[in-house]
This record gives sequence, structure tokens and C-alpha cells, in this order.
Amino acid sequence: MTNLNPKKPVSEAQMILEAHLQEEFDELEADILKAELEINNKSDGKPAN
Amino acid sequence: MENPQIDKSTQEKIEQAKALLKDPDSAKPNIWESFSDLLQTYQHFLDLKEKTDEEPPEIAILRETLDALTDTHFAFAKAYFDHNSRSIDKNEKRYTKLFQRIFQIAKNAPETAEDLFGRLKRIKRKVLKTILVSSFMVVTGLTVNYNMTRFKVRVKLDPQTNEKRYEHDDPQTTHFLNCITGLERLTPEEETGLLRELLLRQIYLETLKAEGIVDKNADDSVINQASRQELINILKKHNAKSSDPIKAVNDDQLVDNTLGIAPYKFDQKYYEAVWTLETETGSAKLVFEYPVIYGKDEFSLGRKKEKSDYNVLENKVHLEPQRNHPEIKRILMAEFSHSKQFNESPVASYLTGIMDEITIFDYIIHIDPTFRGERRSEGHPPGSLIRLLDWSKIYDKNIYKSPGSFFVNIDNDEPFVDDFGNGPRLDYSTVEYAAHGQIEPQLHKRFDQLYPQLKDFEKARQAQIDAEVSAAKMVGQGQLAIAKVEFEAQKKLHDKEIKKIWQNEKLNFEQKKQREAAEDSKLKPCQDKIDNIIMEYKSKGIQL
Repeated sequence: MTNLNPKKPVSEAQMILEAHLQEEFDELEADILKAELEINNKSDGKPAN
Repeated sequence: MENPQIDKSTQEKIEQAKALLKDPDSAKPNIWESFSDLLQTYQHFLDLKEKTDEEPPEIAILRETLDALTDTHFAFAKAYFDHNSRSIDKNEKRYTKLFQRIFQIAKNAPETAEDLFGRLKRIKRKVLKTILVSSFMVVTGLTVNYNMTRFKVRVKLDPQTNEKRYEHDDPQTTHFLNCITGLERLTPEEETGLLRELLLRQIYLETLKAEGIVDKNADDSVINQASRQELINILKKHNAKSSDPIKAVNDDQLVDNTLGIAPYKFDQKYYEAVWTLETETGSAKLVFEYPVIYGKDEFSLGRKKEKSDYNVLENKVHLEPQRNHPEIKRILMAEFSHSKQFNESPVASYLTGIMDEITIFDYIIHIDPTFRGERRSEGHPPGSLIRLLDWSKIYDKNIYKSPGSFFVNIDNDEPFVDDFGNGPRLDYSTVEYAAHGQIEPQLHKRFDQLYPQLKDFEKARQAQIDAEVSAAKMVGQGQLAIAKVEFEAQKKLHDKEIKKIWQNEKLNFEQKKQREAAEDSKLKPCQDKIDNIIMEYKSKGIQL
């Protein structure tokens, strides 16, 4: 075996893709929060559950 | 040194390869580029091989270069795998959290929840797809490695007997296949090695300690430093305590029957059949060994190796010694089916293999709620779902099945189906199914054509086993009859004893009663007198 100890095994393209996926997660989370707030408002400020 | 068969550009590539070999750290900084280096050098290797009939020194240099590059690529692959594992773990936690929130929204706004859940599923698929697509880099590297490990088998005629003799590129494989077929015997050193593996990996030191065969404080060195004869002595003691002991009249036979590699006479046709199948399935290397349990660090994707297997990285069959020939043939055909599979379509098979791992991963993360629940109740946080043994269990339970099969719960084999009979299922042919479900039956058929005797032998052996079982039953029945008579006799004896004791007791009781009555009669006048005195004083107003 070589003594190589790769610190950056992932290509830049994959890093961008992964960051993009996290953004999609963020957007989804924001919409989930919006839906939760709407439900809370409908139930006069009471918690959804 | 210039070789007239090699053109100038190839010569330049060889020089580049040599430079790379001298300084492996000059390899490119990520997996995609390390892969590109590897592929280029591999292409030069193939070009050179095409142009030359015999192997010039340059080929050897390129081989060495490719080996070094493959190692580099694997170092990247491992780091890459770790990166992806962490990425999946992070995404999985986020997925679970968001899923729980959507689940709550569904109670009040089902339509909104359905839309949100659809988006969540799409993100999940993207995460897995990223890993699958980029895994192609690792796969192609593996394929290069596989092509480096293709071997040849040569056939010669034995000048004395004029019979065919086969020779593999790897002398050890030739030797082991000859041992299976009875042409050669294992050397005493090989036997010693296998006995050590047997005692440590199959019987276990703890068992030998519990049986009082080795000292309670002993470690592996008690086996690893023991001589062949000492190992045989340990095995003999263990065998004597076994419920299914190996029959043997002497030490050599005990070793033969335990390792069972070539317990039968050499048969040229059997020999040819085994070697023909070896050649037709891609001439994999072969080694006899008892299974090793892989550690976490060995890049085995978390699986535990617990039986014979085919290692694609080495193009090598690891064969666990078996006690009889039909069993050896069965396992050989099972592992040769993988050899044939990777020989014929390495890229597709590697990709399917990675797909299999991802499928199981996907299953663990998102499908099996029982599994998740159980692990949580055992105190494992949701993030620590993947455990070595569970991965292995889930893999074994599901991945050998035909396309269309439902995923099953590892604990009760029940499929995860809803009231309408719908549930997650395999939607493609896995590596294991393609090998064992499709290729392996063909190999057995081919073998039976080449050597039908083994089938007859199997039948005869089965008949012998049946006869032994039936004889054992008869003996059992005979023993039962004897036991019944003995029981009756014991019972009667027991009854007699009880009766005797009872009679004695009765006698004692009656005697005691009589004695008491006699004593009573002696005491009675006194008692009467006492009663009279009491009555007399009572009439005078005095209470005694």
C-alpha cells in the first residue's frame, strides 16, 4: 500500500451537489415550518397537537 | 532498454508510469483524478499486451505501476466511502426529523403533508443516486483491478500415464485443486495451519477452556505455537466430548476426516470435471481456509465473513474445508458462479453489487420500522442504525431472493406488507441472485454431465445415511424397549420398597399405638385419682 492519506477524496462537483441537496432540505424545512404555523393559526394559536 | 515491438508513444507512457511509481504521492488529489490516472495506465497496459507475444520487462513495470495506482485508488475509495457514510448519516438524521414533523402536519392538513412528503422522498432519492453514480468511479477502478487478476490454466499430458494434467498460473491454486481431487495431499505444514484455524475460528478457544482441554488463562498462542501433534491431541480430546464425534482409527485419519479435503481415491474424470469447471468459470485462484471474521477497518462494507466466499478483488475463491466431496462440489459451484459472473460482466456485476449495498442501506434507513424501534428500545440513538451484525443479517435475509420478493423482517421472516398485500420489494436481480439463482444451477448441470458418478455417489451416500438413520432408529427402538422393561422392573422394585417401608411404618405405628395404649392403661388409675382430688377441692370452692 502507498502511504497516501487522502484528505479530500471528494471532487468539487460532488461537494457542490451535496451543498445543493442541503439547500433543498433547507427549503423543505422552511415550507414545513410555514405549514406548521398555518395549522397553529387556524387552531387559534393552540399547538397543532 | 528499447524494445523494437513497442512504439515511441508507449515508451513515453512507460517512462511516465515509472516516474509515477517512484513518487506515488504525485497521484491526483481526488478520486476522479486518481481514477483517470489508473484508467490511462491500464489502457497502456492493454495496448502493450496486444503488441507483444511474450511478456517483456515493461509489462512487469506497468503491472507494478498499476498495482501502486490501484492501491492509491483504493485509499481514495476508502476515504470516499467514509465520506459518503458520514453524508448518509447526516442526511438520514435530517430526513427522520423532517419526516416526523410532516407526520404531525398530516393530522391537520393531509394534502399539504402529502406534497411535503413527496419532496422529502425526492431529496432522499437524490442523495442515494449521488452515491450510486459516483460509486461508478470506485467500480471501474475495481474492474481494472479485476482484469489484472485474470489467470490462465494450461493443460499438459502426463508423459507416464498420458492423462491430462492442469496447471494454474498460481501454483497454490494448482496444489489445492489437486488436493480436492486426490491427486496431491496437503503438506503437514498446511494441515497444521488449517488445524489452528479450525480450533481458533470454528471450535473457539473459549469452548476448549470450558471443556477443560486448555488452561483457563490461555490465549491464542496456546494454539498458534502448538505443534501438529499437540493440535491433534487437543482435537482428539475435543472430539471425545463431542455429541457428533468424527470417526477415525488413528491420528492421520482424524486429520483427514476433519479437514476432509481429499478423503476419496483419485479419479481422473472427477479431476477433469473440477478443472474444466474452474477453467470455464474464469480460472479464479483458490485457497483453503477457515473463515476469518473481518474487523471494521477492513473495508468490507460492514459485513461479517462467515462462510466460503468469492473475493472479487483478488479473483479468488476462499473455500472452507468440508467433510465430504458432494459438499465440496456444491460450494465450489456456488463460488464459481460468482467467478463466472464477474468474468463475463465485471462492470455490471460491480455496479449491481453496489446497488445491493445501497438497497440494503435504504431499507435499513427507511423501510424497516421494527428494526428502528428495536434498536431505539435497546438504547441505540437513531443515528447508530448500522451495526455490523445487523447489516449482515439483513443482507443475508433479503439479497439472495429473486426479483419481486418482499423485504422481510430479520427476526421473524415476515414480509412488510400492508392490508392490501403491498410492501417494499426487490425490483432487480441482485448479484447474489444472478449468481446462485441463475448461474449456479447451470454449473451443477454441466458438472453432472462431465462426472455423473458424483450424483450416483451422492445417491449412494444418501442411501447409506438413510440406512444408518434407520438402523439407529431400530437401535433406538430396541433401547426404548429395554428401557421400558428396565423402568417396569425399577418401578416394581420401587413399589416393593415403598410397600416394605409402608409396612414397616404401619407396623411401627401399630406398635407405637399399642405401646401408648398400654401406657395409658397403666396411667389410667392415677388419672382417675387426680380427677377425683380435683373434683373434691372444687366442691370446697378451691380451683387447682
